[in-house]
Amino acid sequence: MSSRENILGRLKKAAEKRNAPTAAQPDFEAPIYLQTDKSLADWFQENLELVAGKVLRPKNLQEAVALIKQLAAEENLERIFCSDPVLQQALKGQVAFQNDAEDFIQLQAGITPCEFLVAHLGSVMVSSAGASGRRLHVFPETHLVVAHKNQLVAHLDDALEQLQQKYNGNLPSMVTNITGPSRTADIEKTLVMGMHGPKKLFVLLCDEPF
Amino acid sequence: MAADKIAFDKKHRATIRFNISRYDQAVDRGKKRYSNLELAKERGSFIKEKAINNLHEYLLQFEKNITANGAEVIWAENGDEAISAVQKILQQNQAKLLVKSKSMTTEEIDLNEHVEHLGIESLETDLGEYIVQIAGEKPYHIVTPAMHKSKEDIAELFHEKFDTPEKSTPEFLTAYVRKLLRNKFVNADIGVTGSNFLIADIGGIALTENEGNAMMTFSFPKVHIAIAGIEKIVPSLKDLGLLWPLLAAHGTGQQVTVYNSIVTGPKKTGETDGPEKMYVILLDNNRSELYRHDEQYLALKCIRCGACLNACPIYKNVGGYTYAATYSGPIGSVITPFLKGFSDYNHLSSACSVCGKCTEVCPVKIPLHNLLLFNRRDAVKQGNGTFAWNMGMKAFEYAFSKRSRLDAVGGNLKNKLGLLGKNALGDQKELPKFAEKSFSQQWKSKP
Ligand code: SF4
Repeated sequence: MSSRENILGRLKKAAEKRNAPTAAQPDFEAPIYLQTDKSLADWFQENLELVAGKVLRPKNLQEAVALIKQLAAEENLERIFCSDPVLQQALKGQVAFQNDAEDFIQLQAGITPCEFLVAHLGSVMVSSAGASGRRLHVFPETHLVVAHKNQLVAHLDDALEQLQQKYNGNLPSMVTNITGPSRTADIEKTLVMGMHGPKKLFVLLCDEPF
Repeated sequence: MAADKIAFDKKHRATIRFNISRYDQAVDRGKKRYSNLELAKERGSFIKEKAINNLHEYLLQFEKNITANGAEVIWAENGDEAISAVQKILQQNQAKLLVKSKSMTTEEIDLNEHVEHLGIESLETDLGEYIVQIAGEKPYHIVTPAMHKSKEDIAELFHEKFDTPEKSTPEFLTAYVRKLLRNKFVNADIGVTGSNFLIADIGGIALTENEGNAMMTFSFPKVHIAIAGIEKIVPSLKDLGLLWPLLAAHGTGQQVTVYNSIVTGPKKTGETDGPEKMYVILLDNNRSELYRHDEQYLALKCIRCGACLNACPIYKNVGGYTYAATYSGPIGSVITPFLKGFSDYNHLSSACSVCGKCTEVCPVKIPLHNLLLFNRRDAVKQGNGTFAWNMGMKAFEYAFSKRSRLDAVGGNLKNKLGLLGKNALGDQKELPKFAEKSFSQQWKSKP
């Protein structure tokens, strides 16, 4: 017999012998988190800023690009990577960007879209479905996310539910819920930002969808 | 360091106390974000209990779904089988460099040692794990591996190993390691991760981390191997909406950990990057033995948050290494006898004052201190106490059940008999001296 059959066989036998009663299901509807009467956008901003992310609130994609241009100057960002066609189109002529595999290792900043914004946690949910893939969400020192209000949801449960609806049984190979810049507290619980992932995380949250 | 030496080392105690006090403050803040933490824990407990009670079914579901996503599932009865599966993959890919993110399961099977034995570099990439790896040690705490080291200790270690400036700050050392490891991620052939959850309904693994090293590990190398204990199952993707924040609140006190990833397979057609191959190794290693025990099997609900370690008065004093096992603290004391044998590890179940703090803090409501008592019961049933101990207890019972028997011998002889059991108290305690006449005898003969 294979290891697989042995393991599964033992588990099955023990469970059948035990015949453990099913525990009563607790209430899965009642709220467990503190509520707020803030708008989703304000709530998102407050929570992401609590964990050292920065949120900018442009009116539309055009304004977002202008803000990126300003940021690039302030933060001395020279090698900016962007793979997403919609964002590339908007950046063109305003902000210089790269998208060649050879340049990837040298990049300083990455610009990506996202799947959802989770207001309750201040999280940005990203996936490998788009042109940004997996690496661009973690490798740059500075990560700029361009998003819009229709991507906001209240809780993580909502984001996961909508994700499943969107991809309908064909989920991307990677989905990550990002909540702030990379950090470590492994040395005496002293917080240091930018361990392996980005040191800085900016979310440009546009009022108008694009 | 030997367990008895470290347990009584005052500097070591101060370091863990300091680290745990910082943890306590953070967790206090984290829990305040819940309006009904108790209900959240009841839900967490329900989800994991359902998963464990139907373990074989959910494992089959997981296998079917993740295989359909293009990953390959390998079942391993024990460490040896898991290691040989990894070795085979390494050889097939002519691997030279393996990068690893934090995983207690790989500690359990001593993956690094076995990989390096093949002449392949196996590199820890989580900062805490990296620190203990270059120090030539083992992780001290399941969430905070280098908890036993002060920042001065770590600065000195890096100074010795890499000639970094003396007394470097945590900021400097972090930046140093970031740069050093970037190169490694880019050049590694194989990425190995653990898995915090195996998601049955979508066929995916979930990984929780703050640093981004797990994301690097499953994004750059062309092969991704995830090694997970079979108990890591959750029924469905939506369970993570509850469990991710709950794990963070109890593990570090964060509202949620920075990176919570789901990996459902290798790179899909049409995707930009990611590994060409993904393997999931499902490790039993005596978990199915633990599963046979109608009380203790509940320990398989554990989500490895580490809260019970930090809450335990014994752990706070003696620390992680004294357990001499991969999983320390209360949860370690419950499961280690099953994973590594009762005769060598049951003493862990007895090194507990049954204060119940661990049970109180557990986010999935595992009755830890009760399970420790069940371990003690089972050890006695199996006759795992030593002969001297069992005879001693019988003699104790005989002598103490009647007052007159206690006075049958004089103080001198009692002192000698007491010495027979001296080891039971350990080297650090002394047996009090008996008076020649007992109190009861003195009372009767008082003038
Ligand atoms: S037993 Fe409970 S408290 Fe301890 S590590 Fe596991 S989940 Fe956390």
